[in-house]
Amino acid sequence: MILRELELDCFKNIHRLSLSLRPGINVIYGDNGAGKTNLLDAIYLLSLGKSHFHLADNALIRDEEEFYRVVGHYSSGDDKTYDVVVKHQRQGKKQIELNRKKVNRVKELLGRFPVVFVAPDDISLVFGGGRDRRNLINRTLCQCDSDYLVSLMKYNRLLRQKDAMLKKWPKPDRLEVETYNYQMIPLVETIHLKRSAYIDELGAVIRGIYADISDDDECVSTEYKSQFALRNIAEVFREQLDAEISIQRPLVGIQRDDILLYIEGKLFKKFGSQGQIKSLLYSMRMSEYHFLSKSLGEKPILLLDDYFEKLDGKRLSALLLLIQQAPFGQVILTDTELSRSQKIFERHGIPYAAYAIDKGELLTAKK
Amino acid sequence: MSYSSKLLQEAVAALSMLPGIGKKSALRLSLYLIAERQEDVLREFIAPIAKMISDIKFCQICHNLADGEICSICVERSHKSNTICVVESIRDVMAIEDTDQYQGLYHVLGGVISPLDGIAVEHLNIESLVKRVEGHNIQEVIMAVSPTIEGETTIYYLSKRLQPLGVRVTLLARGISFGGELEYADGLTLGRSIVTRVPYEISEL
Ligand SMILES: [Zn+2]
Repeated sequence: MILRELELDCFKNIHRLSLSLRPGINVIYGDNGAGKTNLLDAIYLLSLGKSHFHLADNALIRDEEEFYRVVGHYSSGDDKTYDVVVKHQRQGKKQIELNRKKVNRVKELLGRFPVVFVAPDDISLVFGGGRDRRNLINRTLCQCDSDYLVSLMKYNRLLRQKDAMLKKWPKPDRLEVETYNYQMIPLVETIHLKRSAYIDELGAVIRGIYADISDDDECVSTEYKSQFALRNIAEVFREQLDAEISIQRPLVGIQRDDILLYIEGKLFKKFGSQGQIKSLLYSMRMSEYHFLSKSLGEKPILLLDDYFEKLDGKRLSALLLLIQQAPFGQVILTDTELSRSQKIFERHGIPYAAYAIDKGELLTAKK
Repeated sequence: MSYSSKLLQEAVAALSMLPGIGKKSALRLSLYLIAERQEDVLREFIAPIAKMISDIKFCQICHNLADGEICSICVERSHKSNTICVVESIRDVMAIEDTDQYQGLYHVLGGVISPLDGIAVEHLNIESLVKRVEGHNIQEVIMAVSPTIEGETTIYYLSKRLQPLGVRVTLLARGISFGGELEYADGLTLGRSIVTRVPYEISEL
């Protein structure tokens, strides 16, 4: 899927902007704060119906404006065209349209315009809490497995209800809490199974990518950390029931899952060097790309924010190699200056388009 | 709009507080009432409404609307039915009554369990249901509650409370929208689903 045109109205710091993109490489350059990341976030929003940075819809509206609107015109390999509109008014409900028809459930949108976003906050994938790593799994699986998406949405709703139930006064009795557990257990079963398969494969994929870009032959591995590993799920819920009631918050569930990352059998976040961590981050992001292309049968749009800061030496060469392999989808990357990108792409004979952006406005585009 | 009469202005404001009535309709209704003979208006409109507001009660048994302590359905059917249909709201009772397919009793919960909306078990008419089933040779309880996450939660909780009492718990046959939106389901489908209800099963985990 190729994003041909992008139109923004009152989105973050961008007042009004319309941009024609090309297949292959698109470089968006400008100073920090010019709006480059916001542009990528708008593209992400068109694919997943929400901001990559977990911002509420009102926070996406430009200061002192009443609404935002993002429009994307896509075309597929077989020359079909698709229009996606995401708009939101303060005090209103966000609306999504696909080919001028209202999208009622986000699952109708997910996976249609697959996207992978490599953002500056990436380092949290290694050093942050489990939430960042769960987000990686969720983003990938939700884009290619609607069964997973539906189970996860239902689970999250039940979890919020259960949490509210545990916090009420008078305290709930065991049956009131079990009522939620009963409904959560089959969902946990589905999600656990799918995460487990995903993380197994993730290990192999990361190892492969990592080996390509790393100087040494360190072995990278992953482990699924879960309360339910080799356990009867219902039993785990039962064991924590009384503790949950007395502590007044949920203690069991897939919201506590994590992926442990190892290098040579040792925890990455403690023992990985800076270079190794950079290689790992690149491998993890590219694994998302790998999974989506494999299970959807098409290349996702790759959004690389501030790519030059994150990709140097071998990592950059590996990316260029990937880009040179036909057929390749679309890459939209940002940089603070054009000259270094120009040098790299011209040296490799890779065609690209460049767009200058300043204070939320598009300056003249040049090829 | 500016009115020459403050009395009119206040009546328009009051009528437009009603759901579905805008300022324009409120004005039209007010002008109509003024044009009618004063004693007719008082007798035919104001009196019945005032009487309903001051006299209407909730049935002490099923929480449906009633003129006395007990509603007409409970009075007429208590001795000849041992089936209770559990619904979320009074409007659901009316929708099922309209189908003419059900001659049993009702129990109005007053909502579904949703702690996020501040509705916990103790805010619904659940204890009175359990007592009713315990004390009155009830054979079957039909859950005519919406198939949402909160509806399912409510059905599971009720079933667990009723389980020790040995009463049969059933669901409306699925595939139609009901519960809360019961009144919007077409009467034929709703009638059929209450006739062909299915047993509710709790699988052991
Ligand atoms: Zn009654």
